[in-house]
Amino acid sequence: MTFNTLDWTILIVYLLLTVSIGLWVRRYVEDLAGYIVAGRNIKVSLGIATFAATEMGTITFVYFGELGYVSGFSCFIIGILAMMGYMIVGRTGFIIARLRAFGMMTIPEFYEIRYSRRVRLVGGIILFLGGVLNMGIFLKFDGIFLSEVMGFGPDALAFIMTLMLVIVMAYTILGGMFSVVITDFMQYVILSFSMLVTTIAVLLEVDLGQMAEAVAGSYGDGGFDPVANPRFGWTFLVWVFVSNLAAAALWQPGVSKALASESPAVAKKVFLVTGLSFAGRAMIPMFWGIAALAFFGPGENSASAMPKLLAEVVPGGFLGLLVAGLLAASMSTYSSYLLAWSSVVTLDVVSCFRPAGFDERTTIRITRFFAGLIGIFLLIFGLWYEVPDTAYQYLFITGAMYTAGALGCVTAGLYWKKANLVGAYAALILGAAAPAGFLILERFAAYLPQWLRFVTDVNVSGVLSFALAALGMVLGSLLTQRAHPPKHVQPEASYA
Amino acid sequence: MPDKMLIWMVLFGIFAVCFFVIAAYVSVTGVADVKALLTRHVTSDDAEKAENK
Repeated sequence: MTFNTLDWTILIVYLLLTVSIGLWVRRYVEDLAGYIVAGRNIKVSLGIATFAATEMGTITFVYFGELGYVSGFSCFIIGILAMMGYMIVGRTGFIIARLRAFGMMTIPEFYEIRYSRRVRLVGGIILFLGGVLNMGIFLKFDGIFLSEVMGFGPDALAFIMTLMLVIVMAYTILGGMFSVVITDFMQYVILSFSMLVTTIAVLLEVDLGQMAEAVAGSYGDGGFDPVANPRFGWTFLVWVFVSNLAAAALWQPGVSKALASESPAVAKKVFLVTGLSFAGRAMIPMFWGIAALAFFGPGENSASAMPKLLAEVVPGGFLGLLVAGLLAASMSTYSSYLLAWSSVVTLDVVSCFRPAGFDERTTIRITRFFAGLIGIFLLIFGLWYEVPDTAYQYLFITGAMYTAGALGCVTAGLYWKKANLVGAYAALILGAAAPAGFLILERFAAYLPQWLRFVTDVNVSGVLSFALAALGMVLGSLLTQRAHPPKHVQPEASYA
Repeated sequence: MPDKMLIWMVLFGIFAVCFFVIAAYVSVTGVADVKALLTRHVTSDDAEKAENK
């Protein structure tokens, strides 16, 4: 057992403090906008903290650490591409400024305004499925991290997953975006400090020469050059860049933070500054993963090598602080994601079947009910599903189920006058087809004819999803302009 | 140390520093934003009092 009494004390006190603050914030009156987008009153610094905390859970550290362990320094390029994607969105306000000006709470709301209610329903279902499948592995990987870093080993995985789920569900269902935003801030501060201490501890234990030798010995030139690395290559790099651009502008849990900003200008600043920190957010745990390769050698389980290293090198007390920060960060990530996906299924799917809509209190109740259902799904799926390739690639391919079609629909809807509902249907369905094809067909790769095997390459499927969605939007719209003339809409506020 | 690794280590240094500087700045200035967010919203107790009046 590597976790000592001081670590346990810090962990328990910190978690009690976080939950107490989250519940205390419930005193603040919340209508639907308060529950889902914190009343749209978030300023720049708090916006950065809450956005960064949403995108920085335990799973983020596990999948970046795993990439460092299995690919060496060449995976650093992913952090730079993510930074570029988010900074482009922040600098130009691409999509987010216009969506904020329309005053919406979910992305599919825009589908109804620009295309039709049925497009919103289809978009909402695809977003919900992609989002929940994406989140499906969070619990498992968080459980792996915690069981290794706390010294319990793989036997405790199911128990840790269940315990985490119970804590997170209670926190999310009872709270709402106010609780999430306030506790996000605390988590961001604690976690950033813990990351600094951990990086210093890793550097004191594993020197750069050892890392260089381990990477060169295990991966050769591919450990330093992403194009030469067989896991990556140009297809992967193009896919990751476009995916990050799309995720920055359209991934509901993050975008809900932009939509919670007090103005489109604040939303742009939040994305620009948070984007600048995203290269570090990726590279720091990747660096720990490379250190794990140097420390243990290449024979370890790729997902648990980095947490095992941290259990060895981070001093007592700080390990408790790191685990508390990560666990709390996971709570914030889960809360944001559960809130995002349950609000999508409530507002964009269930409400589409009831034209008169529900009152706000009922809407919040339905949202909480779906948050509970998603939680149960996460536990069952996490225990049963084996991830193909790396966790990072799984997350991006499930994300592409939605982001590819959404990028086509929302970009064209906001910036192209000829976009119509046929183009929107085509983009949504074709964008989801390639990732769904990958997730199903990779299980039967050995039985597929040679000409169809390209679909089981995760990188090819990822690029294909964006290409097909764009093609669907352009051809679908141009070929049906007369039968389905495009709708033209104006936002409530200015874009600035 | 190979040249390519040296380039990655320089980039790692730059972006890790960016990450920690932003975190430090946000940690200091975010407190005021939290206060501002809470003062702009009434609590359920306040709402009850206003209703009784």
